[in-house]
Amino acid sequence: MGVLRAGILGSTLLLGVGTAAAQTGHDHHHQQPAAAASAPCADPTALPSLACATSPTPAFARDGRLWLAWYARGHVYVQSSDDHGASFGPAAVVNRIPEPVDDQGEDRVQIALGPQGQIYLAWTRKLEQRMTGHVRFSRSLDGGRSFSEPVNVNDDPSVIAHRFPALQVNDGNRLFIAWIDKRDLAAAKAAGRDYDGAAVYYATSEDGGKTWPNRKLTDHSCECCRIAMTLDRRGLPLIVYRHVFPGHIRDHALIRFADPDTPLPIQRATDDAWHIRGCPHHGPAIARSGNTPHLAWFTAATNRKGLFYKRLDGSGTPVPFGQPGAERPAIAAAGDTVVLAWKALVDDRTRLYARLSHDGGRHWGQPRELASTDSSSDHPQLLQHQGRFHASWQTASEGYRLLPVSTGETAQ
Amino acid sequence: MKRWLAVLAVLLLAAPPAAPAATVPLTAEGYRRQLDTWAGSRRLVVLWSVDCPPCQQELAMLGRLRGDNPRLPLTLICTDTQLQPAEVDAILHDHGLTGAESLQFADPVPARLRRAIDPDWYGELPRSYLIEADGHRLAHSGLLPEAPLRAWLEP
Repeated sequence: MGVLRAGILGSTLLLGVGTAAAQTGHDHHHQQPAAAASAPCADPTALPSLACATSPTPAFARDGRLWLAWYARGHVYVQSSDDHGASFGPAAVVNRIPEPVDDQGEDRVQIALGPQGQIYLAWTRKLEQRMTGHVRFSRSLDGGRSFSEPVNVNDDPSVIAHRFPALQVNDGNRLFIAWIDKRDLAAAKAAGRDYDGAAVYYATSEDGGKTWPNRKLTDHSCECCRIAMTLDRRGLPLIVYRHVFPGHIRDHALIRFADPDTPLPIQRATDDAWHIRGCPHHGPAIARSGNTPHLAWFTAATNRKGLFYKRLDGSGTPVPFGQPGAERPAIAAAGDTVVLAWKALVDDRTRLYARLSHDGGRHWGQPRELASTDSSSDHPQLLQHQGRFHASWQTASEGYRLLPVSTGETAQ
Repeated sequence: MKRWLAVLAVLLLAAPPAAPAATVPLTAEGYRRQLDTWAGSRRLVVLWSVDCPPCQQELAMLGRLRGDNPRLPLTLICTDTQLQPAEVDAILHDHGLTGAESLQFADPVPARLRRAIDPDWYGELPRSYLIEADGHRLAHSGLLPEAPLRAWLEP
């Protein structure tokens, strides 16, 4: 029986390569067009490459080296660049034993670099039933030469959803992972009770990822939107996610921490009052500079539709950004500079845009187009290192691009 | 054991093609043609995804409706591009929806198809359109309440 299953799985992995890039869960995600699928990405004998990944995730190390984590055909890979993405070193394989991984924009491989150059990774391993998964963790302590055997972060082994991990590591090398977890929903169903949405769980590791005690942060989160997590000045998580408030209202909530083991009660972060018994599949983005968190999110409430930004210090009123059809907000901040990025279909091309503020988000410059494609595309990512900002974007026709976002004072 | 796997792989690769799936791929251009075939009569169009629990509830409700009214003018559009059409068929079968018109997103740039369907739709699911015979349509995001829907479907 085990042999039969392994044989089928092996053959499926081989046969499925043609649609490997289409292992996505929603129409929003990157899909290889039929023409490109016949190209190298569909060839099972070709080496996996970054160009064939759906949702590569970048991160800067403290020394300015850029790291990129991506997934293809059962394996997570890591590559580094010392010239801001102009060229990359050879790809290192993270997991020795292949496993199917969620690689679809909202749920994507996570990477974070520790204070001594440790490479930390998290991802969702897909299980045999649709929409289920385990959150996995692996690390390298030797600059990417070797990686630890992946372990499950969720301590609940049931075949349900433990997905959409968000990963951070602080200057004290303490790790935080938050994810969407359906064990409470499953328990409610078994007991015949109603339960809206899913739960957000987190785990923090003081031992570099060897142990991960789980804790629930909240019930009733949206079950299919990414979680946004950054660190505050103390190196503690700031988490924003879409919550399901009573009456089926989907608005965002913020979770701060008093210390690594003490999350505080959720605070409402947006007041769109979006009433929907459905799945937006469109999570928020957060960045922090100084004491101010900055939030970007999507909503389709009656009186507020599209992408919005605000400062999360109590002074913020929502500022709309992006044209009709704008999606996938990204945000980064350093000093007084805040950068927003998004993509939109305009004149039949998908275009990547950015917009800057030089006063902590109070005033914004005109949007500028950074790149475009006529093919499918990933969610844009924004990152910064020592005040230099970059947009990261994977598109089917052009492959991976890391684009500088100039923050010069010259008006565009 | 390796021979077993090799034989199995060959058998799978050489397997005769399965019966054609009922679910039909849909692109932006295809959608515009689709509108022509629908013109002149009422139709309920529902967009759904497998990665969307409320969508599964919606499909269950539609299955019940269709059970009561087999000639329900219903079109289902699956937005998942990673499923095989036969898998989409299977999900619909589980909800008693075999035989309903079933389409699946197949545009290389899904945003194009979304825009062709409705520039005011942001992709949230389930998404429904109650289309009148004259083409006028009512859009709804999220679960459709069953009672008003039954009333609308009354001849």
